[in-house]
Amino acid sequence: MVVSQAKEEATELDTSQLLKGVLDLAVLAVIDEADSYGYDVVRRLRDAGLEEVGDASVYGTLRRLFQGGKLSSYVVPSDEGPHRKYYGLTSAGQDALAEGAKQWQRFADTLDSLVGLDRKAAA
Amino acid sequence: MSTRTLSAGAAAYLHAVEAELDDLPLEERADLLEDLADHLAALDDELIEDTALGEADLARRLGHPGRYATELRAAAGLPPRAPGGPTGPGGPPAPPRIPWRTRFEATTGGRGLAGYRGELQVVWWAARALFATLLLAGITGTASFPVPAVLGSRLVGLLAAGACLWASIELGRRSAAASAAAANAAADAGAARPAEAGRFGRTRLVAVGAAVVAFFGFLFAAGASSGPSYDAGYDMVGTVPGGMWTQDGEPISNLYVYDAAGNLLRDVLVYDQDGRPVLTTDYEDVVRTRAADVNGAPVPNAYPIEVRPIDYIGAYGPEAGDPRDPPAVVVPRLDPDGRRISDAERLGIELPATTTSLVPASTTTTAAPAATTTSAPTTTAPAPTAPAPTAPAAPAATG
Repeated sequence: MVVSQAKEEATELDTSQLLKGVLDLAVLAVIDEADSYGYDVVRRLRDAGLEEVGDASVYGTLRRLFQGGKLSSYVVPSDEGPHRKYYGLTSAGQDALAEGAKQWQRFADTLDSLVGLDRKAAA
Repeated sequence: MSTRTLSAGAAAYLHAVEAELDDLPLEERADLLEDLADHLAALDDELIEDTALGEADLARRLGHPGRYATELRAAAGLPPRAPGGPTGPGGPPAPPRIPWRTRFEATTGGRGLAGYRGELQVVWWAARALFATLLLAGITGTASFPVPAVLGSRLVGLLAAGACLWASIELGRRSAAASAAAANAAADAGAARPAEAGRFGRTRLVAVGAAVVAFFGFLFAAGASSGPSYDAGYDMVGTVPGGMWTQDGEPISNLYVYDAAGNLLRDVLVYDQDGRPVLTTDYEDVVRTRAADVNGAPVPNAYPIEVRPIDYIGAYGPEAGDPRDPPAVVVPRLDPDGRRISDAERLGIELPATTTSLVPASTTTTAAPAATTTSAPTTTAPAPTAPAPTAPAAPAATG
């Protein structure tokens, strides 16, 4: 619904609005790749191309997923730096990731076909 | 360089966000702030090597602290900030009781609600009277806490406090009576009501007494904890022994004294017009270090106090960061002839436009590029170090 709103009001999509709906999935996916701490999650999301992701949104998402039992956490001591709180996926997190990925695929397919039809009509 | 210490800018940012989260339960807040502290430390490492990262740079990267907090809450599924946080500096700790009562009521059912409402009302009456008195004291110039000194006198303050309390209770009783009357009228026949009305009246009487006791009890209890002597300041940690606030209620936590040449003076002892040590407001969660006297006891009115932010990074407890820098100020250049201006002169008479203002108009003959602007505190220029009373150029050794 956020997406449709963005589509209605602007020709240029508001990426930060789009992100809100899928940030959980993106965070789960990044952590599934490798256990990670907050700063690293932000960096990896940005490196992957989600440049507009907000630091606060990532930390808030991590916390919510952790409290929802999707993530577990452990502290890794470090000699030269601060102790780092790493997050890893729990089995519930794995399930959520799989389910989210499926949902996303359906959604993306739908939108692909929609956008494709629009293009054809315009041409 | 230790990555366990936050830069001054990062610490300030952390504090700013902390203030935005102050309505959250302690544990929740501590978790969120610990994450942020870790993140800030990582950012410090990334963005700086040896220069301190300013709060403005962080705001550019992370967004304004208020926005950061809002975004964090939204993403974490926490409620938006509750309106009406703490009103005054170091206000009375009455509010925490309410959630407890609410929870208690929830467990035993809503049965006792009416009774609790009465009690809470009493607390409210006392609190608003205290607030009014403090406001009065603030308006008349001397905001002292907890016994408000109205017109500079604590006796007048106590009398004013009593008057405010009486007014508050009277107001409360009238509005309660009005609503009770309305309720009775609504229940058309008054015959069924007298017993309840009587009980209601008795409750009110008890309530009024309780409000009086609570109000003065609070005044004296708070006074006893901070009032008896300024020696209390010697071993205080995290208490408010004296306290200074601006007219706007902003706490003043430190004093910086400069000489005419713009040099920051250290270990200055400050007293007020009656010779009492001047104590600032210790409102922040920081490590404050004061100059010691010959016996090794900290002198509470020696300024500036060294302030170190508490660093939340250590997983096993806080530690102190680097000392905070003094604020950036531009000290006005004083008239070299030691000219003085009385208030009357300043306000009453229009002087010829030659040498009226203390603020150096840029027409003065300084060739130095510094001190172009006036003493506006927003500039980040350091205090001018060279007074430059036209030092004679060193003659080249001829010979």
